[in-house]
Amino acid sequence: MLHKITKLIFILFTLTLLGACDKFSATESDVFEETDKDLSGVWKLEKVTRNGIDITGLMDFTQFSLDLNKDGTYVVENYLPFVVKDDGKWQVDDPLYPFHLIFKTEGSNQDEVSVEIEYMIVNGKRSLSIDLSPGCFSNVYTYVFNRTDHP
Amino acid sequence: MRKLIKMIRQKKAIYTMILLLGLIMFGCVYLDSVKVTQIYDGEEVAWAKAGDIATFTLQGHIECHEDHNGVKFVVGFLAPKSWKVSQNAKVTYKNDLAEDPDQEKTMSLIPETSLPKNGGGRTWVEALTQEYGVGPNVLDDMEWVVFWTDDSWDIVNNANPNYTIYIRTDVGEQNLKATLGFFVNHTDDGFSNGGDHKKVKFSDECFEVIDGKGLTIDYCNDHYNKVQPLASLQDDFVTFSFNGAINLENALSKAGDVFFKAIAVTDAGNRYPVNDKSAKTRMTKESAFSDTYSITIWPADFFGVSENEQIVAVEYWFTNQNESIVISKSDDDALLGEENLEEMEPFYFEFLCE
Repeated sequence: MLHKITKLIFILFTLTLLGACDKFSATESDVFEETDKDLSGVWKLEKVTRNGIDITGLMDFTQFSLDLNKDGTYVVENYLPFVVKDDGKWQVDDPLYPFHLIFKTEGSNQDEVSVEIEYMIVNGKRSLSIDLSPGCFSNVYTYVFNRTDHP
Repeated sequence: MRKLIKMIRQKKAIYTMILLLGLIMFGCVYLDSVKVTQIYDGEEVAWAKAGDIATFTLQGHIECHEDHNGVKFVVGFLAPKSWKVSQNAKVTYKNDLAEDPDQEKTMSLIPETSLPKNGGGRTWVEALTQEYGVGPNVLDDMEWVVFWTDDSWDIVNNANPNYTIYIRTDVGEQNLKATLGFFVNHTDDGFSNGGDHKKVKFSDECFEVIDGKGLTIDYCNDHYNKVQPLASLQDDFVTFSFNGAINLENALSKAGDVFFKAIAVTDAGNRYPVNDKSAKTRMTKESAFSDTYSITIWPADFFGVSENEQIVAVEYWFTNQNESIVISKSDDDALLGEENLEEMEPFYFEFLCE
C-alpha cells in the first residue's frame, strides 16, 4: 500500500515538473531587440578633464553647446576648442551601437571628421563623452556632455 | 593536564620562533646607488647636452632567503615626458646569476596587460604614479616608464647576486632640470605593500639638459610662476599660476586680488596685449588656505589672435588692481639668488609641442 502511494506521489510530482517547464516556454514578448540610439538633441558640457585632471571649475564651459538636429545637421554654439568649428552635418557609424560620431563641415572640401564616443547612461540620463586633442597632441581632453532638451 | 598545557606552550613557542625566523629569512631587494652623472671632456657632470644619449646607472644587490623561480626583475624610471623614454630608452642589465656576469642583457617595456600581482588591479605605471607621483619635483609633466628583464631567473635560497642596470636614453631638445626617479622590484613580489622587495630612489643632483631649445624648465625648484600643461599650443586650455607661498612676505599675496597681465607674441611678429583688470584677468585663489592663484585660458580666444596667426610665446606678469605691485621674472630670479639685471623682466612661456 505504502509503495503504491509513493509511486503515485512520484508520478504526480513528475507531471507537475513537466507542466511547469511547459509554462516557461519562450514567447514572442521575451525576444529582446536592440533599438536605434537617437543622439539628436542639445548637448552641453557637464565635465571637462585635461590629461585626466578635472578642469571643469577652472573656466566657464557652460556656454558651449553642440546641437545635433534630427534632420542630420549640427550647430556649434559659443565655440570652444572642439573637433569641428563650423556647422554642418552629422551621423553615427552605427545607429544600434554608436561608437563614432561623424561630422562633415558645411560647404568645405575637408574630409569627414570621425570621433570615438561613449554614449552612456549616468544617473538615469544619457551622457556623451568625447576625447579630443585640439591643441598639442600630447594633451588629451575629455568632454562629457549632458543632453539638456530631453533625457 | 599540566603536562598537556606545558606541551602546548612549548609548541607555541617553537611555532613563533619558526615564524619569526621565516620573516627574517624572507629576503630583500636593495638599490645601493643611482648615478646620473655623465662624462663630458673627461669630467663627471650632472648634465647632458640636448639631443645626446645619457646613461643612468643603478647598482644594487639581492639577499635571497628562499627559492624564487621564473622571476623577472623590474625597473621603473621617472623622467620628463618630453624625453619620450618609452620610445627612446634602451635598458640593459648585468647580474651575477648569469653565466657571464659581464654580459649586458636586455630589458623591455612591460606590456600594459601584465599587471603586478599585488598592485590591486593597477598597471605598473599606475601603481608607481599613485605611490610616488613625481617625487620631489614641482611640475607634474613627468612619467614613470617601467621595464622588465627579457629573461626569467631562478634564485636559490642564500644566493646574494649583485646587479647593475643601465638606462640609456635621448634627453630630448628642451632645456630643463629635473630630479630623476628610479624603482626596482620583481614579478614574484609584484608591487606588494612592504618595502623589502621594492625600492625607490631619486637622484641627489638636479639633472640638467643644456644647449637645447627654449628657456630652462625647472622641475626641481618652486617658482613664483607655474604653467600647465608645459607642452601647449594656442588651442589648449592653459593654466597660469602665481605661487605666493614661495615667499610669504611677498606684497602681492597680501594685496587680495591678483591679476594676470600678458602679451601674446605671434609667428607674424604681432603682439597682442591683455592688460585690463576685470573678471577676465582676475586669478582665482585655489583655496582659502592656499597662496596660489590661477587662471585657465584658451589663448587663441583670450588674446583675440587673428585666425591666420599662431601664438609662439606669452610674456606675462602678476599684478594687483592698480599695478603698484608687480611680480616678474626679475623677482623670481632674485628670490632664487640668480643674477638678473633687467627690471620687471616678464615671465616667458613658449608654445611648443613635440
